[in-house]
Amino acid sequence: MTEPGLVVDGLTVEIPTSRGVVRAVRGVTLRVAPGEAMALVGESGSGKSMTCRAIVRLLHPPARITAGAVRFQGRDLAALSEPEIERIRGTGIAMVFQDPMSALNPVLTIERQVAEVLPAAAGGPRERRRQVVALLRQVGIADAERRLRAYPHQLSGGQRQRVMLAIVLARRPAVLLADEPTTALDVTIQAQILTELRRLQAHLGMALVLVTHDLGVVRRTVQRVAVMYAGQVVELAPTAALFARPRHPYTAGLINSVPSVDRRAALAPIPGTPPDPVGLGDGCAFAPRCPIASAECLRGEIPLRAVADGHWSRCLKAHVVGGARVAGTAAQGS
Amino acid sequence: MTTLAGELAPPRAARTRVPLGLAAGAAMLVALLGGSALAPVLTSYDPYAQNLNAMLLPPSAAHWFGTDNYGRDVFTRVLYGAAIDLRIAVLAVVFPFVFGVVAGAVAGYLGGWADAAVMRAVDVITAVPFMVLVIAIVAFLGPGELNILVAIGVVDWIVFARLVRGEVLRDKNLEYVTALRALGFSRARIVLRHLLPNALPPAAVFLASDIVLVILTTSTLGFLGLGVRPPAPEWGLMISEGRTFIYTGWWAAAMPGFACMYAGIAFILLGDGLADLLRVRGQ
Amino acid sequence: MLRYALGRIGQTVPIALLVTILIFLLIKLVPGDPASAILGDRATDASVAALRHQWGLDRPIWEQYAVYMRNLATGNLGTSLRYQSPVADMLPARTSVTFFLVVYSLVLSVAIAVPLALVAAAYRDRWPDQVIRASMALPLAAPAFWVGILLLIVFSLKLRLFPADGYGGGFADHVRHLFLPALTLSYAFASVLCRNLRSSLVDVLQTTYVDFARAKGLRRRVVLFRHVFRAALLPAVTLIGVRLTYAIGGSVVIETVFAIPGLGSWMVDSILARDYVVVQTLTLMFALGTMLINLATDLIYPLFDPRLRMG
Repeated sequence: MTEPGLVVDGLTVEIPTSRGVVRAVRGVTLRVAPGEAMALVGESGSGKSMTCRAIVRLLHPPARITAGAVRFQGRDLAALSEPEIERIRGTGIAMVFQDPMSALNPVLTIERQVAEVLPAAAGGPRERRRQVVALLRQVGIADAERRLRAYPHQLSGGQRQRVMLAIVLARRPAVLLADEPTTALDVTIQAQILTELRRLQAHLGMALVLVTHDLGVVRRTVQRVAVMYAGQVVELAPTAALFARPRHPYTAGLINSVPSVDRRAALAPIPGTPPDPVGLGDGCAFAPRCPIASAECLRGEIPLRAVADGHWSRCLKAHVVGGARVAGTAAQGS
Repeated sequence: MTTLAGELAPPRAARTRVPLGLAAGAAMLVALLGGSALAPVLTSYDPYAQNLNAMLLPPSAAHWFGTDNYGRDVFTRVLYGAAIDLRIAVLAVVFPFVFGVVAGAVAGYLGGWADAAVMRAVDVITAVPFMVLVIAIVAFLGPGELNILVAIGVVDWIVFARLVRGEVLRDKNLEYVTALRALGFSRARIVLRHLLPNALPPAAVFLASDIVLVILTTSTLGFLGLGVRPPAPEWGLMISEGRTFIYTGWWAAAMPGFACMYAGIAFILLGDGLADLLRVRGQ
Repeated sequence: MLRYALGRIGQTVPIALLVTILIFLLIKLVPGDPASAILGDRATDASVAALRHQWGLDRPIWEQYAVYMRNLATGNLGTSLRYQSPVADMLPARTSVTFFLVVYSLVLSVAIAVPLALVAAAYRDRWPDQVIRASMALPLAAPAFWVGILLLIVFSLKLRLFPADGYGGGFADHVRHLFLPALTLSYAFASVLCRNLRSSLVDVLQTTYVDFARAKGLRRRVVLFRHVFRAALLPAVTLIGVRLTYAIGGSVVIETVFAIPGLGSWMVDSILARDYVVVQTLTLMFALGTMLINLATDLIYPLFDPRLRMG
């Protein structure tokens, strides 16, 4: 029986470099149900973008998938040939990128870039144009007709992102991977784009995987969150549960480093820096920076375990993590 | 609970290995220079002595590159010719490099009339194709080594000026320069101590390929009869002389060309290797 | 766009004037008295004096320049002492030959460079790429005239595939005669074009917009032709403009090697014959041609890259 939605199963992506093999994605497992909105959260280098690229097979050589499967509509995307995956891209799984200026071809008009995803229209080019205008209007671009002959550099950042969404909309994908769609935008525009994304989701019944490092965005937009660190999923939980009681020290650290209006406690950044991606081995990658780590955290493969209903953690001490107190301990010394 | 929060060691700095190209190019060059300098020792022939009994002999143990139409040993002449062509090449780029770098730096940093003057001069000189202008100047001045140096000096500086000007223009708007000004450093000092040293590496890499251009220009002038005068064993001149006897003795014309190629490849490797070396250092 | 064009043309005029001054002054480099140098063996006191008067050499330099410019404006490009006929008469025929050669070499360069660049970019860092880059780079060190001679030996004299010299009559004949010289001229540019195009392709292939184009589900061929090529070919267009001027310079030597009756060989002949007036005029012609090409490139480039268009 075909599993509905998208299942990433033990995905591993390796990049050979002159310094050694970088394991950018290490055994990531995720499930995205149809129509569900999920966030993939982590710092730069945590492997979240790589995971999305790996799903649609847009990795740049020499990066390659070395293990795992990506199951979608009854097939393993990791094992498909290039022509086969081309058929899945866009209509099955779509992806939008972080910086809309660099994601749109600077030498082609907006109309061209939207129209090229539309099938040949029965009414010829005029009908095509009508469809493009309709799409642009649907994503909230005012004055769509005038934008047709424009080039990307003539539009604002928010408009460019809307164009990308229009292109996605045209294909009606079942899953949308949005790689930091709001990071390059002003805060006010961010909200608009996120609203737009939610509308699209509702309209198409589309699943959404929102990659971001911004926890504020996460809280408002998605139902489930996967937190990634050093190429692994370290915590997976419904949004409310994650914020109410995080079960991994890294997540707790993240939440505590975000300023918020109603917080009284001092900001407590996570000490240390992310590990060198070359030479990641067994044991918890977060251990060197973790306030509650001990010897057992450094050895052996630490699995992702269920700690509550629908709540998973890769911390051996998940039961002691929770609330604002944990990160504070590190700062005061133990 | 013990805290294992420790400082991670900073990543090991990448070892600056000498790029293969740089080493190969340098080795080739040393071999050529050495061979040329040691020519009187390495060969027993006089590059100018004619021996009409030994005209156009094919390459053999006695004459590695054969002999030309005057019976002169080609290998000897190629080695002595290296001294000529390389000497001209190195001398010819001195003025363009120095003047071009300075002019470019001044134009880039000062802007205004200095920039306009330099760029106008560049525009005017670029309006005429390089080879045409060099040939024209040599045509009017007359042949000879000195005139080649003058012609190249007048025309070639613009490439360095343009390059350095571009670098300086780009760098002078960087924050650190503004900071230096705010600290009270004089403009001259900023240019000399900061902007120029940053512009020199790309200019040095360009120098290598420019030397190749000059070698080719010198031999072209020699070939056309406009450069070094016979009976000097300049490579281009040798090719021109050997050309008439292409059927009976192809080696007389071919060997000097290979020598040219060898020297050119040496400098190209040197230049590319230098570029790699500088990139590794985070330029 | 029109304003930009007019602006560019406007910029060219003062440069062109300065160039005429430069070339006018060049002839002053001739050591000794130019008139007697030109007349050479035929110089007599009377003829030297006459020539000096004709050129205004006894007048101040700016008047000489005025005479020079006036001559140019009225189409008097001087008289070839060697051929005893006005330069202007001989110019069109010679120019068309050189033009044919240069354009031919450009076509060959593109035909060689583009497929190789595609292969090199597609197999980036693997052996086809290495081989192509090495074989494109190495011939740059070889003198063009020498390569021409080698080609002449192999293909013309030994294999008898192509004529050894001359221009031929009729278009097809021109193509046959000029193949080897055009090929010789082309390899230097082909090498630069190939390297530039490869680099450009590699850059474009890494961009986010190519990723997005693929993410849209477009077929590989569509992505390649519509997205990758368009963007990658742009920098190559300016390169063509710049390098064309080098090709013009190179034609001087190549025409000599292959005995082609173009502007370049005319210039060399004139130099060897001390026909200084012709040399001066031809230098000017070369300069004007170069400036026109640069202007044309600057005006054409914005047509390809919308980012450069005004407004």
